[in-house]
Amino acid sequence: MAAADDKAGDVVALPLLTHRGVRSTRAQEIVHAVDGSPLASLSLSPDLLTSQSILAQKDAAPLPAHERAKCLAEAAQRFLDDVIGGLSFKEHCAYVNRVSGHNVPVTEQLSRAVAAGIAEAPDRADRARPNGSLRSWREAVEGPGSGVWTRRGETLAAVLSGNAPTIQNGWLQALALGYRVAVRPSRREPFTAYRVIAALRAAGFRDTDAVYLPTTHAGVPALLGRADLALVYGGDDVKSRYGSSPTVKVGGPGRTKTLVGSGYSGASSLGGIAESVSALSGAACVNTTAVLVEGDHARFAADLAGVLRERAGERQTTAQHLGPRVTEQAAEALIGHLRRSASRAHAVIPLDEVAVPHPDGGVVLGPAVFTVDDPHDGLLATELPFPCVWVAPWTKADGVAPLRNSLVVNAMTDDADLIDALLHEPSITNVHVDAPTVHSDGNLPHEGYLGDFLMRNKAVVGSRTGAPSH
Amino acid sequence: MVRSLLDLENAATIDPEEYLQAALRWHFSEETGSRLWLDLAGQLGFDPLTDIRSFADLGKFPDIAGHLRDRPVADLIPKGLAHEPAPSVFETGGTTGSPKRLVYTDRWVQRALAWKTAELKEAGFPAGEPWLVAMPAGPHAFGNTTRLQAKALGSVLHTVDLDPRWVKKLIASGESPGTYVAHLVDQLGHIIRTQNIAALTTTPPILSELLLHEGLTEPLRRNLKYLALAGAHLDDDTCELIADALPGTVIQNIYGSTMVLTTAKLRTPTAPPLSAVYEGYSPFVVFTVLDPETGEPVAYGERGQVRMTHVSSGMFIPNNLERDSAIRVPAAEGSVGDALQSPEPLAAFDGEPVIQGVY
Repeated sequence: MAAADDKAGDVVALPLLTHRGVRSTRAQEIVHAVDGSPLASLSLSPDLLTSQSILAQKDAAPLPAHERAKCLAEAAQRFLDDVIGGLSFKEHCAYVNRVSGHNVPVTEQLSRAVAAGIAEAPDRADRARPNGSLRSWREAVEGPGSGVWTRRGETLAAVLSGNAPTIQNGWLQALALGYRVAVRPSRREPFTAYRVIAALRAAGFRDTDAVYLPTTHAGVPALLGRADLALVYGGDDVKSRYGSSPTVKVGGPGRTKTLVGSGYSGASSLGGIAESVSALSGAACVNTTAVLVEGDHARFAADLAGVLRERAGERQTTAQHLGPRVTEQAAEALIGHLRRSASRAHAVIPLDEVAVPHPDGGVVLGPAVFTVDDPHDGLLATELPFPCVWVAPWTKADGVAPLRNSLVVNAMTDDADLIDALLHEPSITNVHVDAPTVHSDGNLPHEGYLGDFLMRNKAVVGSRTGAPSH
Repeated sequence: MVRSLLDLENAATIDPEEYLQAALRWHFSEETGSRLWLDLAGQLGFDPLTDIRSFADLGKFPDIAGHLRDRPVADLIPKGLAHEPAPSVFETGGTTGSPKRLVYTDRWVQRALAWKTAELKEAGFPAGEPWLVAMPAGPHAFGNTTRLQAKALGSVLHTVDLDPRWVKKLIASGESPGTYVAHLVDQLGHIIRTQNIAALTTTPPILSELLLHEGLTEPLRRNLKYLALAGAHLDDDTCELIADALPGTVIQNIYGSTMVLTTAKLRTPTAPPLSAVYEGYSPFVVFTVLDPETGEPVAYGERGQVRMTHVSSGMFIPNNLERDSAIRVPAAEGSVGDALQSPEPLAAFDGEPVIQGVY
């Protein structure tokens, strides 16, 4: 990263990318690295401009589908190859690394995954299209009539969080489907969204197709009020505020769990479970935060802690640190929260070892492993943004109840009835069968396919269809 | 000879300190003072007639906001004016708790009307042409005083009423003010489409909403010569966007407080809002910019909390801390207190979160 470090000290400007070009505002917010140093000056969009942008987007027709696909492919390349806003891809990754907390290789891996998300957005989106639905009414009128996959609205607001650069992948599918998108980036990590939208524009998308409008929290209602649909990412607070709206899809908390059936607690299973806990810096919603063990959960927790400790090893003070690097204040708040809330749990790794000051500033968090004795203990729902896992005993008699309210459950079991039950449990979003919870790709549904939310099916029947049906 | 407050109020030139002493004698004399101040006089811990030597000393007085909320209005009226026509009573918006009542005597209303009419003319107000005001009337002063101004300026007044308290309730309960704003825009739209509105006074959020309707922006762009924005904070970026949308229109950002019974005077009425300097009406209405921790004035060019005082025969509001901060600027020659630049809301005041709405 030597070349990248040359620029990583400069404060870069991140202006708005509006429906009418680039605009810097008087309202600016400084984006700080986890070590406290200023990295970017972020323009903030006033409500009037946010509204003007989205109304202009509503009035603009989308590019034709094939052009969108072509421009997305080019934008993906430009995202990787171009100097954008003065930054090469490598320099861009250095900035993201310094705010996001992901280590250097994870930052690059996730940033490359964004490029894939841009290029593959049309195909990923199309996976949600039902068998009975065509992409275009023109096809439908040629035949006996068909469902046609149709946008539910024209404009989408994307209110992003900063956990991972790949948070862009959702709204990119909307863009691929012809939505005009207003992106409100995370103010903690506003770099990736900027680079994506600038690359889209360089590749041929018009200013009205995707706009970049950072705002404070106070600016969110204007975005949600003007756009037809919205994707909003956040925790329980966001879920409770917007979860009931049919026009808002909330990317909510994960509470992802792994169930270790008897016979799966051996050394060969531990690697995948450790991976589920600690991949992606342990900050993603697909990271396992609770493990339910059929058998000796305390011994299993000790073994898992051993593997995680070994993986963290000497890395924690290098650029390869396992957990995320966060600000000192964030570390203090999280560890303080653990100390208070986890007093009835047993800390398999002493809390003092969970926070390690990093030589470049900030604190590296995790791994943390706790045990509780009751599979219904509320602590199992604790989801913190670093490798932190709660281990409890489980028996067949406990059933699916302790596994409820999970984005992903990895069932390491041969019990087909249990897998059936997990699949049919409404509060479980995704089921893995002996595959790490972090294993997924953009082709799989995450909280359903995005197309389920963005699209609807309309019957289109042409004159060639023939006689009326009755 | 010692001149009375009523004489001094109408004098061509007024010495501020002489005026202050006359006002203290007026408000703290059994014959002329209000029940409220006569009651409070014994609890002050100082003698207002001997211990208040200058405007800087007014900070010794307590904030009387609580009394303005709860006392009968009769207690607020100075006995010295008992024989005069009954005053108008207007209320604050109730942004920081229940509303406060202020007494607007005819003497004050006429004085403020003369100031404002002259200033509007100086700013290029299109006197004689239709004026649309969408500001709170009812219990609030703004909508009522603009009616008098329109008469004085010879302009036909069109109005749409705002209920700021309802909007604040909506927002506080987590609801969107969207339907209410749409209701206002419907009413405004009817007027803008059918009348050649040359002057418009409203709040920044409502104007922003109007500008999102091409059918309304177009007639405004064609006819509007004067735009006053008041009642909610106008940020610099929004102000720029508005100026972009309405080229050639004089835009004023009005700053004031019901607590001092008027709005501030713009040092240069035609200056763009971003550089506006706001003056009081010394010695009637005086601003000070304070460090909220120490209560002492901040240095010129620094931001502090705004204190406003109102001293007239009708009311004595010696120490009213506003829910705003501003940059302290030297007051005009011969004036007491400070002038203000870039006023904006404090994040929270007195424990109650400050809710900005459409007003």
